[in-house]
Amino acid sequence: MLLSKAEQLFNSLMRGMHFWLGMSALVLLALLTTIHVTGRYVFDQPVPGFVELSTLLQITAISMAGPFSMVYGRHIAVGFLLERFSERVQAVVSFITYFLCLIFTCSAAWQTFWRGCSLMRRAQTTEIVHIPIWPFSYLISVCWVLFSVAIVFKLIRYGGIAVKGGIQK
Amino acid sequence: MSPTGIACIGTILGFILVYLRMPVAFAFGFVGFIGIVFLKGFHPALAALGTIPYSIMGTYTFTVIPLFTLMGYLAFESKFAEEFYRGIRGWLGGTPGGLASAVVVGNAAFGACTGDSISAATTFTAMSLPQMRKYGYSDRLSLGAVCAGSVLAQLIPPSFAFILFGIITETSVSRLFMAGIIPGIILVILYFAIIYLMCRINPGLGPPIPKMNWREKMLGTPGMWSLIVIMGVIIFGLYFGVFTPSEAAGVAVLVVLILSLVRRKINWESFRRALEETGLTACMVFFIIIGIQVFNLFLALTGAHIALGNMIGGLTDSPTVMLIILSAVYVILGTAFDIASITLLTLPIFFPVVVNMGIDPIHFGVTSVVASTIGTLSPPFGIIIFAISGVVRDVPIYTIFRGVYPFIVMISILIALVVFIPQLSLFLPGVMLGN
Repeated sequence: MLLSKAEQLFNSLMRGMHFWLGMSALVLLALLTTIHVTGRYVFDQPVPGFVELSTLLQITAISMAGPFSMVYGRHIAVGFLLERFSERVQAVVSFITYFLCLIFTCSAAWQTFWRGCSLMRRAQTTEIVHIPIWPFSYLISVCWVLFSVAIVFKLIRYGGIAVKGGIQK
Repeated sequence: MSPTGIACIGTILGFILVYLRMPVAFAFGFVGFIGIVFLKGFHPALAALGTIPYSIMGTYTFTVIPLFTLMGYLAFESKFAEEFYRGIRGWLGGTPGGLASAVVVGNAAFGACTGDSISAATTFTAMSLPQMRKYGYSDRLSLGAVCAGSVLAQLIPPSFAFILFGIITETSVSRLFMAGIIPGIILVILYFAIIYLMCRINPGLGPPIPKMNWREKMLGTPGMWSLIVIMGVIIFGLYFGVFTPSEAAGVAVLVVLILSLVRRKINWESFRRALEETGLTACMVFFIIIGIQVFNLFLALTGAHIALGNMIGGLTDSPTVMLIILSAVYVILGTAFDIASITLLTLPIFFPVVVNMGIDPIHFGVTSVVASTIGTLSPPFGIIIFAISGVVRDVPIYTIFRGVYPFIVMISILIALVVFIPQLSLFLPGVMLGN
């Protein structure tokens, strides 16, 4: 019950983060591109550092939307083979594969965090508009951490099915 | 164990994990990570995980993916595809199998907005199937046309497959977009031909609907303009060198948004839905790229890319025979994987071979994309078929597979045409401005 509530809360937080942070960055990216093109052709004045700003907005959009894609189960997976087996076997296999996913996401979170620290120490910025890069490395690290939390919820769910059999509500 | 042996084991392990329902992105990412640990140690493997996601998300050229996706979902929520289909139905519906032909044209036009076959297929199933059933069309023809028509999204710009091909091989995405147009139009004509032929042989498959008079036809036409304007902005903007693909995508988002607002076709709820779907789709693509790039780094460290490339390069000296061999490989791989994964996995191996043989990268790009599309329609992977069977639960999946077989023959004919007549892919990129 408590777990289910925690999962619901996490899912709605991810949805909000996806929409308000991730997709706002995407809309800004579209606007920035249009301003850049209009500025270049109409006023002969493109946006300075347009490419840098675009990539930073893209990092924000994708890293803030990423965890929700795991919550929503939108990643391509080939299920027709496994679906021939019983629910319990499916749960055991999914538990193992998601555990492997967890190793991957935790390693990525750890390393992007340290990369962020290193970038901060070196005070590295973009070349034209001199925006610090380190917050964006931390952002990707946060994305991997949240990915890992989403995977942990899946592991608990599949673990429950594997141990008890049947769907755990 | 030799590095090539390790690469083979890694590849097999990757395939096994994918078929155990592990998300493709993580299956290849994990195997790549473990492979690098095995070859170079833990710290270099961690370093790869620290740099690859940032470098992929921070690549400017990739901005084209979320932006075109957003444009597609906005056009979808604004029901522009529905209006276009209604208009074209008036013109084509009176012929045998005319509604199925209208679906094909609608798909081609909608493909010009989304670049994504699955969105096109699910959209047109929901939109056209009830009406085709009402007029006595067989589900086999209706769903066959919807599924086959949706692969046009991979050929008509903006195609995701071409975007990935262009970025990985550093080939101009604008030129690739242009290169897909003529093969796309030929595929539409081939589809028309097979639909007409099937309905001539068996009129019960797709009987003509009552013909509309000119007034009715003209009344349905204005609704088609929104999609045509969007297509025009993208294709002419790229052709005349006004925009780069990323700029075209950004401007097209704004054009769709303005058209939707002016025509009162979108509200806050549908705008929100479009944004949510965009985020989900774009993330799926980005994480596949990240996972497969980690895997490709592992393969590169084993030297398997070079060994496999040399082996394939040694098979023949003829560029045409090489294209036929590679097309066969893409058809086979297409039956097991999605186009994005295939493109990312194979290009580091095949592309140097192709370039060394003097094959034009654009020609190879079009051939590989056309060949990969067959797999999206055939068992066991058949991602479009599975997506549609999820929407239409009252039709057995084998009926849909039977429905697409005639269209697969047409795609095979297109592959042959593209391989043997390079000008089909090279003419438009050759004459476009801003080369």
